[in-house]
Amino acid sequence: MQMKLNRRHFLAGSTALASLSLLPATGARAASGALSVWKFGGTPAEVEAWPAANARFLAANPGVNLDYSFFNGQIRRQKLLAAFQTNKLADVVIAFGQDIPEFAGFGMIQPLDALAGADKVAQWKERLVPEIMADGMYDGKLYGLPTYVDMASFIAINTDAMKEAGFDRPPQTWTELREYAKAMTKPDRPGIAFPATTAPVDINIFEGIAYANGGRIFDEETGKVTLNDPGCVDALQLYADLIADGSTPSGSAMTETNFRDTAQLFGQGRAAMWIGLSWLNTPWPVPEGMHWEGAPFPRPDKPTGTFPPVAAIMDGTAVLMVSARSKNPQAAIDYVDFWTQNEQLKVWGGNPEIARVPAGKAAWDEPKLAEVWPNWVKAYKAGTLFEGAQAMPRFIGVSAVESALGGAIQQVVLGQKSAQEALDAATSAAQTQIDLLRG
Amino acid sequence: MNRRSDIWLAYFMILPVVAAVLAFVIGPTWDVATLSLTRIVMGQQRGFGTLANFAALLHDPLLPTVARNTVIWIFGGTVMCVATGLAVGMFLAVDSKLTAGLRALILLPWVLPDVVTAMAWKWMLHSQVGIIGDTISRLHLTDKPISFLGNPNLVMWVLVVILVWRKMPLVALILCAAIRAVPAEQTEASRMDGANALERFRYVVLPNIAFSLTAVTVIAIIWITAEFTLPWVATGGGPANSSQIMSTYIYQQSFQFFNWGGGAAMSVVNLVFLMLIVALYLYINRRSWAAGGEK
Amino acid sequence: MNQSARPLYWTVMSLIGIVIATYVLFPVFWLVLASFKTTGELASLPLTFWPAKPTLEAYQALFDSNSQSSQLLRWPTLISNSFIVSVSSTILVVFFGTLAGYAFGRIKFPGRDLILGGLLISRMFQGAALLLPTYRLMNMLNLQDSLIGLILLYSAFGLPFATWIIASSLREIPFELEESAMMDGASRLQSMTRIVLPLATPALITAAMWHFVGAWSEFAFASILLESAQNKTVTIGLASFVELFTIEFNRVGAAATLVALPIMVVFFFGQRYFTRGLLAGAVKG
Repeated sequence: MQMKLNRRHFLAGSTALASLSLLPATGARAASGALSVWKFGGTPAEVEAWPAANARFLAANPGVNLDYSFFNGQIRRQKLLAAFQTNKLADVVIAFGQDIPEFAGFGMIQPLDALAGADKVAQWKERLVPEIMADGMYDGKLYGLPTYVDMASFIAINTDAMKEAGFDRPPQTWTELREYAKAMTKPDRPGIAFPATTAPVDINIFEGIAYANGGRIFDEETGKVTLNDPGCVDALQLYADLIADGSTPSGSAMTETNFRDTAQLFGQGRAAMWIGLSWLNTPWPVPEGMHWEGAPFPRPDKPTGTFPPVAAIMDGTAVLMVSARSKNPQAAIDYVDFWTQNEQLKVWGGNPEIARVPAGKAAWDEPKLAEVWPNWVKAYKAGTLFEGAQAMPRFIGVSAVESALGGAIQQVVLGQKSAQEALDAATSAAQTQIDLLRG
Repeated sequence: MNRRSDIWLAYFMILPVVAAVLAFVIGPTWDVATLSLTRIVMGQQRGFGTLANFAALLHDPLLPTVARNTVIWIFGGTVMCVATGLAVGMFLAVDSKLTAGLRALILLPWVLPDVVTAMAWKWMLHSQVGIIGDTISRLHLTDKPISFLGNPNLVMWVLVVILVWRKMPLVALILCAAIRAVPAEQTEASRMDGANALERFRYVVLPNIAFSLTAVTVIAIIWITAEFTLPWVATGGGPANSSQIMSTYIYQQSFQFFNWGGGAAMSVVNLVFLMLIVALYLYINRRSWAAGGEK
Repeated sequence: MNQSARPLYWTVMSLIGIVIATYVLFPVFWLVLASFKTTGELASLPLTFWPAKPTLEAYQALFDSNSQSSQLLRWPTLISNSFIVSVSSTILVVFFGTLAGYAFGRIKFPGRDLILGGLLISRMFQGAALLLPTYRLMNMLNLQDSLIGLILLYSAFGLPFATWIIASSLREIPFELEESAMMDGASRLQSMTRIVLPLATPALITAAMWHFVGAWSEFAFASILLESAQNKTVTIGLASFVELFTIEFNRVGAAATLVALPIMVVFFFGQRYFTRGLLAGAVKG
């Protein structure tokens, strides 16, 4: 009861504040008229939370006629492309941070900072974690407003298996990881598994390892694909080494097993560790009596890439963007503003079924988050969680390069090619693709 | 019986069908054809009348793999569909309670939507969490679990098995009906002449069902060519592009990479090639589908 | 082949029957079995064959207004939309397919075989490549995000094959019947509706069923054309559902069973005509 009262009090306060600040900035006109919003994919709980929040938006903005549509995540790009070509794009689209350069470059979306005005942007900066807000930046402008991010890469460890193998803390270096994986391998239970299908998440997981080793997949300055940079090659070699050590399921098993299936295998005790994004097994219940913990993916003993090593890479998959041809930019920006409010961003404050890294500063104070992810909240409070983190690869043509990388990962995992050969071939194929796209 | 006015009546009667197909099928196809000759940079159309998209396609290192996989998909799929369909159809043509029951249930695979079919098979075939993979490992039939959809040498053929599962029942039913329509006296006569089962099939049944067989083959080719959801959901072209076929590759180029000029060029090449084959096939077997003159 | 009372023969036949039945029916059966299991049972080891504790949980969750899935996807709306689209386009296809089928099957006119062949080949064009141009066309006609647009599109897709089935079947009906009617003063139209079409009922039913199944399960074009929640069809719902609950196969199985059920009912009643009509289309003319 206490909790509920508090929240209502807070909501009333914040909307009053918002309307006050709106008056001088925009000439005393609250948003009204038709506003269309498209959301793509998401976890069930998040997809359910969204319409509930829309109802709150409508209550606060009775003049707006909101037309909200939810779509299957898989049709995101084709739907947006088709709508853009025919001038039918929704006013607000909720897509991936990785999409921003292409959407901005094609003229599909417009910068939010120009539209919102300095006052609003200042308020956003107050309410949002700066490192996560930076995930919406491109070309010096704020194109998207992230509501959360996922980070790469992490490992989930079955702590019972870890103790059984004689270790008392998660591995911290690649060498340690190989030792752990080997020691934790049993005849019917590989020490480690990693997903290696063509699913974008599986590729992001690898990128997290490669970027931490000083690798990059593309160099914006030279316009060159850098998949065969030593940073990437050695990271892929780590995959190959783990397989060669006999510490993993067979290569072909991993190329048919995506992140969700791998999480399930881990939950069933069929792998002692797995490599994933920040949420690891949090969204899926594990059997009673099984103990596990998440840890950052081990660091390379000595980074070999030609770029600065990063601590982690991150990207939001529910980033709010405003169409360049929106007929109601006022309402669109109000909708974006609405999602920067603590009340909305709390959706990501510790619900294990959603399991994201929240963008709202206030969400980090939610007791549930501390319960689900104690280590992260600790790191966040200490200011170290995002230290050295960077956005996931994003540039015009990113899908083509990631797809080529995905193919190369599979070739190596299947033992068809060496890491160097596979990535050399992928580099030249991706370069051709990207040159074609950029003209 | 053909009056002059009948000819006009006929044109009038087919007009709605022809118009609908022209508008909704040929129209968009024309759009694709012009797109394939358009230069597209950064998502913007920059000038018509270029062969750049075709040139890029020609230099695509993946093209041979895609072509090979597409041949397995379309021709392997068609041959397997028709061959198993014929075998199952012959079995179903026998009179018994078992076959009557099967005839009633065999169309079930056909009514499940593609998305579900692909997901269900993917799940069943998974080497560790799938019922088929799990059963094989538990019976120790093989040393290691088999990854049907993760093994680059197997994956295309496994996709064909899923395809056959989905399309074969209809083929089998049609052929079963055709076989049951073979006049019994012909079979009996040939039996009297001492022909064995194989000879009876070769000299009595086959000539009688030849036309059905042709028609069914054409239908199968046309279906399989347009099929896209099934392979895309099942493997996404993987592992390492070993199940990338034309339709999935066109989708990937157009919508994942936003290279829709390239995708259009691929569609044009694909269509021209397939139309030639089917037109040739239809021409050779024209009697089975065309009216073949008024009786 | 008949009356071979040898036990070996029947053993072999039964074995073949079991192999075929397993291949064809097991995947469907397995999905239905999964729909009666709990999420916990599906995720645990070893895999169970029969549901340990059969439950209707997954089915209830589809319609329970408090559950996640029913809030995301309103199955009654999805199903009624699919019905509207499938039934309307089936009616259009059968009506215009019959008209054209009669012309192709029973009137000789210049270009007949060429046009029919061209129509048949056009079915191959409906792949992924046409998604974007089709969207543009529908947008031009102001028919995107409308069930009417989808009805017209599906009809155009379904007409060539329906026409072909109907034409092949009409060709089988003796021409003398019609000739004598026309001698007695009946017009073309009268002889067509009173003499020919009643004899072609199986073919019409076949064409209808064929098209209904195709329209009911179409996904790619519906997913790109439809936007509003009140316009979506059942396969779009199913695809979203599969994406959301991908490893919860009890829910996927329940949703798939629900979606396939209407077609199964249609088939239960139309099966006999269906094969007969197909046969008329595919057997020598």
